[in-house]
Amino acid sequence: MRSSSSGTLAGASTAARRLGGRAALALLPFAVLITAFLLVPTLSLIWGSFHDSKTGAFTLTNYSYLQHPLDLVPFANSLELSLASTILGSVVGLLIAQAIVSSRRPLVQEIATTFSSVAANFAGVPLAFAFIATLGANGLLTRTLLNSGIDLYSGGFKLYSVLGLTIVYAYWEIPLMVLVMLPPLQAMKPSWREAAEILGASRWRYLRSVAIPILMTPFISSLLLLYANAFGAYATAYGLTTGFVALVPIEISNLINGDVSYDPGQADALAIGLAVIMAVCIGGRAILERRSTRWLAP
Amino acid sequence: MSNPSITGEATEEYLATVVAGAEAVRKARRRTNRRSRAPTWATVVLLVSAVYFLLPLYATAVFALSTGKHFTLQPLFDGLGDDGFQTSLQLSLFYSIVTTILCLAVVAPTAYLVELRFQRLRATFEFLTILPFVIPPIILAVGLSAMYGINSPVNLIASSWAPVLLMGGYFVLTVPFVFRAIDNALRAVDVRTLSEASASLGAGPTRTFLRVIVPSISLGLVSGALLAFTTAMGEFTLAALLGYATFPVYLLNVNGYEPRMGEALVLVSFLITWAGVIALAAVARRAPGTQIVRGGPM
Repeated sequence: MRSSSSGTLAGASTAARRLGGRAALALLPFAVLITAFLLVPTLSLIWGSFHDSKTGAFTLTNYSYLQHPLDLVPFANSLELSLASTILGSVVGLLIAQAIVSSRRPLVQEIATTFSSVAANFAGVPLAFAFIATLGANGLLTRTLLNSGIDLYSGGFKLYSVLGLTIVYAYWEIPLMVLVMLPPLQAMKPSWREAAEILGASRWRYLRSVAIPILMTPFISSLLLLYANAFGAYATAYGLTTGFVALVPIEISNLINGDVSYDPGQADALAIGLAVIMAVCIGGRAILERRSTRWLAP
Repeated sequence: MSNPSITGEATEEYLATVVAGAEAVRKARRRTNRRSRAPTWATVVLLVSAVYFLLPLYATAVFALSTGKHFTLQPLFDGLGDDGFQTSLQLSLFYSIVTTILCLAVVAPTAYLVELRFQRLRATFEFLTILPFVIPPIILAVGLSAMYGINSPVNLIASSWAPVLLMGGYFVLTVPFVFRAIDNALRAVDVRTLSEASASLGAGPTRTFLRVIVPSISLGLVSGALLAFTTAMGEFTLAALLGYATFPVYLLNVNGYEPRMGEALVLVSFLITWAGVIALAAVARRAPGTQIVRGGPM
């Protein structure tokens, strides 16, 4: 008995040692791919943002957009679009998530979750064309409303405006909110409410003193997620507008692909601006998640 | 009436008693009242949101498949038989399959070694999960085009290395989700004990990985593969900006000159997304904690 167990230990430690040199070697493919297709391109982007694309000389002019109010229009539009779709997505998404929890039907919960996953993944060009068929100038809903006397387009509505984009972005922002908020809502135990009732708390008092404090952290954290998701989105906006809307991601693509506005250095600088905004959102989220409430721990 | 000397600890104890009492009452009530009905407001919210989410799909189907008088599948057959569609779908399938294989082959051994031997690197790898937000596809596209684009000394786009560029880009885009899926599976089994047991029986590290670890994390590998595949199939931003005529890029172009066929192909694209998510949901049912939505701007 004793000899066999010591043999096992010896075998294991030899195996671990044998793994040593080769183990580091096995990490090499990963390191090479990440270096070649993430680190080097990112460094080249940072370098490019500080250099003139034609002469290659050091310059700060690529960042001049920070000084000119007109050049900040894409940022203002992206900010407005992201804020609007975050508010719409979070309010409606929270309502739907609570409805799913309150329905108490396992089948409803399963169908709603699966459908939310499909909808949250259904972004980009196909979504853009699905909405053109719905709310475009010739869309099904547009024509139906016109027949009942409501003329959306003469009323100033455009699908490729910030308002139109908000409605389209909500198509994935809402289900994303549902999926993110379902676990914390499901973790709320009905007995907490009943305990509050026994102690004489009103419905409002329960919300104020129990539910809202517990759900606040996951809620704010999902707001940041939705905001970053909308700010960095490119495919849907491009599919709807083919580049004719001043949003940060669209502007960046016009600068590296456009014939007239071709200026890779400026595209690099705008991309850095976008990355900073995204990093602030996601950094905030990481800080919030670190202090997740103990009540929601599984 | 209330004891002024009551301590915080006693209050906490008191609250715990109340919660336990409420829990007992609740259990008793559930036993007598087994079938609780869904509240009306929840039903209404779920029905209204179902209409919002199905309307764009219905409008797409109507636009593509109805001539105004009768229903026809002709645009769908036109789309499926279209040369441009078939070529672009083949290209998308090619990049998706290669990305999936590359990603699994590189990430699985890496994740295993991080878990087994390089715990110090864990923090670096956790950073991967926020990567899609800090460097969304639009920024990665700018970086790749700065480093390997037409104006770069390392011009991969115009060389026979062009496919490698997109594969590398897709590797970076999918690696966070694939790593997470595989890492979750690895943490669910006792990797260290399995490896040491296998080594003590005389198996080398490669044999241990292939014959012991891979079979025990198979569900994680499947969900990682599905995430990588569906991400690459639907990816638009990198392909469009770097100049690859994949299916989503073709979808955008064809809608410009053949809208009915284009909308029919939007339905095809939706079915692909749907199939991917359903498959992921099936895996998630067997392995709880599987991520269904990849998240991150597209």
